Amino acid sequence: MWKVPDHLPVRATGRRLRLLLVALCSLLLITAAACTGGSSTNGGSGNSGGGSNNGNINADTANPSTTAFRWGTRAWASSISYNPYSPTPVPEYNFSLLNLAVVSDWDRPGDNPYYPELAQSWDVGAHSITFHLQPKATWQDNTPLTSKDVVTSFRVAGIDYNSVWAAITKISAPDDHTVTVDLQSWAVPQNDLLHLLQIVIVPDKEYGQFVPSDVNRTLLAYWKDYNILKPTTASIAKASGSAAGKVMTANSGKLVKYNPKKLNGDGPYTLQSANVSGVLYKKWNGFWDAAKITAPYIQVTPMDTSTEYGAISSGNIEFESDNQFTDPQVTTLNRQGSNAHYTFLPSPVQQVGLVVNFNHYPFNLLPVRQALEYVIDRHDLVKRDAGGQIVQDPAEETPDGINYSEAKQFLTADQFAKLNHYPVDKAKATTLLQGAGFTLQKGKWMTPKGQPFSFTISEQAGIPQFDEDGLIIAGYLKQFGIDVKVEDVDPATYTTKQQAGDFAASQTWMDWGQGAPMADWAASFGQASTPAWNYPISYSGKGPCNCAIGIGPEADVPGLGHVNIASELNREANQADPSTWSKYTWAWAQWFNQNLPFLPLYNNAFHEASSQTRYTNFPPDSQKWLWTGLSGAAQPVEWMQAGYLKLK
Amino acid sequence: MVGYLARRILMAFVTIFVVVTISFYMVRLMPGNPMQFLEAQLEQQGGVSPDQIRQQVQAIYGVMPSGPLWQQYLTYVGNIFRGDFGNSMLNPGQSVTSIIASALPWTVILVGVSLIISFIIGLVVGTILAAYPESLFSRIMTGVVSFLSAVPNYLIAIILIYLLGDLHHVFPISGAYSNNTVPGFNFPFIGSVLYHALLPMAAYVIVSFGAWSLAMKGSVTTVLGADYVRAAEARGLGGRRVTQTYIGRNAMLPMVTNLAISVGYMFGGSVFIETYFAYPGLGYRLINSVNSRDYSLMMGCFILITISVVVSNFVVDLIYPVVDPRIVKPGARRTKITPKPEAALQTPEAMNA
Repeated sequence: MWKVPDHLPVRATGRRLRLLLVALCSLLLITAAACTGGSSTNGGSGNSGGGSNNGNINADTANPSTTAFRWGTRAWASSISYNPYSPTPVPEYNFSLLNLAVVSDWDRPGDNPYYPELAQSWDVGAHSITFHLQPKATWQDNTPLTSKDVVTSFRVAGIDYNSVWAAITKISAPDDHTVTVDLQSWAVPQNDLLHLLQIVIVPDKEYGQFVPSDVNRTLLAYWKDYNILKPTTASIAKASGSAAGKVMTANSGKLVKYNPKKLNGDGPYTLQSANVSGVLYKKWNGFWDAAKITAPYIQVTPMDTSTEYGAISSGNIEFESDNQFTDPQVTTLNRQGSNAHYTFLPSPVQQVGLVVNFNHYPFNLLPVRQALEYVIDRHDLVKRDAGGQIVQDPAEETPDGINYSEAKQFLTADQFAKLNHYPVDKAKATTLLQGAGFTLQKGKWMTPKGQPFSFTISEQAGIPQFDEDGLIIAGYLKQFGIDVKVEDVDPATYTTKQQAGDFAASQTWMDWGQGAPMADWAASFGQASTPAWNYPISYSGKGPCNCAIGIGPEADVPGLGHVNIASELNREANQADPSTWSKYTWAWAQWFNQNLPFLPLYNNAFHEASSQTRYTNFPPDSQKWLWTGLSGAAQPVEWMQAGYLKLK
Repeated sequence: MVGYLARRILMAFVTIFVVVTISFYMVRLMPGNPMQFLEAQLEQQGGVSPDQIRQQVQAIYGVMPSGPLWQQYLTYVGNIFRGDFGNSMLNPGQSVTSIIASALPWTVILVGVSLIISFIIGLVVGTILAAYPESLFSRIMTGVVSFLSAVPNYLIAIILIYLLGDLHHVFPISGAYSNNTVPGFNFPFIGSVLYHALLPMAAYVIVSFGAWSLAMKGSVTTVLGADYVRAAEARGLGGRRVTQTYIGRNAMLPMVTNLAISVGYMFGGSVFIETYFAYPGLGYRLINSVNSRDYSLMMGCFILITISVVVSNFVVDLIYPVVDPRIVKPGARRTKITPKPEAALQTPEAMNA
C-alpha cells in the first residue's frame, strides 16, 4: 500500500469571522460608491446646470449628464482611431472634423445646394474651382486653418486613392485663404466640386507627413497611367506597379496605420472621450460659429435596433437614424402629446433593387426577368416592409433603374409615361414564361429543361429591411408557383459571394447620387476593374465575367447605338456636359427598362426619429436637406447653425 | 518535482503551438476577408458611394500581409516568440496586445466577479438543497436551479434589458461606464463602472449559479453517505464540526477544481452577454474580430484563451494536493511500504504449550 504523510492545517474560527466582517464592510463601501457615483442614459429632463441662454451656452458650467444631446447609433467596432482615414474612425467624428461644405441628399433651397463650412464660398469656372476659406476658422489647438491644410487634405485624399485626382491638373494656394484646383479639359467641374467637398479637412502638421514633397507629380503620374477615361487591365496594372503606384501604396499604408493620441479638429466640438461605451464631445468656444451652437455636449451611445426604439420613445436619447420602425411604432412616436417624432423622407437619389446573376439560369432570359417584375408587387412590398401604410405610401415607381426624383428631373412626363411600369400582372407573367418554354405543372413552374423553377435570394445579414423584403418577395413568387428560399449571409461572406457571382438573386442599394444620373448607372455598370457588379471597362473580351450581374459587355442602347456598356457610362459620367444629361438619361432609361439588368424595387428613404424630452425646436420635415446629410458636419451641427435645436 | 514541472511546461508549449498552427490556417479558411467585411460594412452604413468604398478598401489592402501562407505562418510564429502579436487588421494603428490589454480588465470585472458570486451562491444553495432535501425550499429551488441552468444566458440578458433597461429604465443597457465620467480612481467613475456592470453580472449569475448549485448538491449528497461522516457522527462530534470539517471540506474538493478550471476559461469572456450589453471585454472583441475577419486579433484572443486554460489546469494540478492531502503531490517520490510478513499461525499444540 502507499503511505501519504498526514498534515492537515487547523483554521481559527475567529479569523473567519474577521474576514467575513471585512468582506461585509467592503460590500457596503462599494454599494455606497455605486449609489453616489456614475450616471446612466436614463431620465434627464431639462437643464440643471450651466447657462440656459440658448444663444451661447457654456459647456464648462454645464452638466453633461443633464444637458448632452444624446445620439443613439449602431454599436461600433471595439477599437476606434482618431484618424478619419482609419477603417474604424471615431463615430461621428464630423462633430469635430469638418469638410469645406455639407453635402446633403436633398439640395439646399436656393442657388447653392451645399452648405458652406470651412469654405465660405467657391467659384466654379470652365476648368477650375476656387475655394475661399472661412477666415476665422482655426484648429482646436488655436492655430489658424489655412490653405496649406486644405491642400494637404486634398493630397492626403489622393494618397488614399481618391479618383478626383484623375481630373486634376494642378492645385495652388495664392494666399492663406484661397485654394484653386485646375481641372482637365474633359472634366465636368460640377462633378469634381462634389467630390472635393466630400474630402475631410485634416491638419497639415499631422497629416503632412504622409504626402511626399513631390506628391502632386506622383498622383498625376498614377492617374495618367491609370487612364480613367479608358482603363484597361494593363493600364491599371501599370499604374499600380509604377514608381508612383508604389509611393501611393507605401504612404496609404502608413496613413491608415496612423493612430494619433488626440483628435485636433476644426469643428464646433472637441472630443472628450471615445471608447466602445460611447463618445462624448464638448462644445468648443473657439469655433467661429460657436454662438449658434446650443448643445454643450454631444453624447454618442452604442445601441442596436431593438434598444433604439425604446430609448427614443422613452426620451433616453434625442436622435437616431439607423432604423426603419414599423407602422405601430411610428404611430406611437407620432401620436398627439408624444415627445417623439418620426421623420420619413424618400431619398431623391437612391433606390433598392433585386440583383440577379445572369450566369444563374434562367436569369439570363429576358422574359424571365420581366415575368418576375410583373409578379413582384412593389407597392405592396414597401407597405408590408414597414408593417402598414404610413411609411412609404404611396411607393414611387422606379421602372428605369434610377431614383424616381432623378427620373422626374431629367425625363419629361411623356418619356416617363412611355416606359413600361411593370404593374402587377400575373397573366402577363404567365404568358412570358410560357413563351420562354416554361410549363406550369400542379401549380409549380418547371423550366424548359424540366427542372423546377427555384432559386435562393441571398440577403446580407444585419439589414433588417432587406431581410423582410426577401421574405415578402419570396412569398409573392411562391404564390405564383416559383419555389424561392431566402438565406441570410454573413457580411464578409456576402461580399465574397457577390463578387464571385456565387448567388442567384440578392438585394442591395443600386444608386448613389454622385452628380449626373449616368454616374448612378456607372456605379453599377461602369466600374473600371473587378471586383465589379458587371463587366468592367478592363474586361478583355474573353472568359467569364466573374461579376455579380453579367449583362453585356456590349449592348444596343436607344439613341446611342451599339456601345460597350462600361466604357460608355464611364465616359459620360466623367465628361458629359450637364446640358446633355437629359439625353443620356433617356437613352439609358430605355435600355434599362427594356432589358432589366436588375429588378428595381423602390426608392430608398431616410428614416430618423427624434425626441423633445431634453431638446426642442428640431427642423421641420419640410427642410429635407437638414435631415439628409451625407458628408460634412454632423446633422445636429447643421441644425444649430441653421438656427434650430434648443436646450429646454 | 523539477522533472514533472519541466514535462508539464513542455506539454504546455506543445499545446499552445498546436493551437496556434491549427487556428492560423483555420481562420484563413473562412470565406471572406477583412477587406470584404469592410466593404460590406461601409455599404451597410450608407452614404458612401462604391468609389469611396473602393478607395478605403484599397488603402487597407496595402497593409494586409502578403506572400505565401506558409511564409506568413513562419513570420507570425517567430513574432509570437518575441511577444509581437501584430496589429489589428481593421485598426492597423493599434497592436493586438494593446487591444487585449484594454479588454482584459473588463472581462475580469464582469466574468471574474460574476463567477465568484455565482460560485458562492451556488455553494450555499447546493449545500442547503443537499442538507434539507425534503423541505419546501429545496423542492422549489431544485426546480428553479434546474430550469435556470438550462436557459441560455443571452435569453436572460434580453429579458433583463427589456424589463430593467427599456421598460423601467433602472439600469443602463450598454457600455462599461458613462463617458461623462473621468476614468480613474474616483468615486463617480467607480460607481459608474459598477452601475453598468450590475445588469450583465446579473445575467451571468442568474444562469450560472444553478449549475454550481446542482454540482454542490451532488457533491454534498455523495459525502453525506460516506462512512467517515457516519463514524464522526457516531463518535458524538458536534453538528457544526461534522458539517464544516467532514462534509464541507470534502464536498468542496471537486468544486474548487471546477472553479479553477472555470477561471481559465474566464479569459474567453462571455460572448453573448458582452455582445448584448456592448460590454468591452474579451468576448466582445473576439466576436467582433470573427465577424470582421480580423485574423490578427482573432489569433491573439485564441492564444490568450489557450494559455489561460493550460495554465489553470496546471495550477489545479499543483494546488489539489494542498487542498486534499490524500492526493499525491505531482512528481512526488512515492514511498513503498512493505508490510511485515504475517506471523505464521501457531499450531494448536504450540498455543496450548
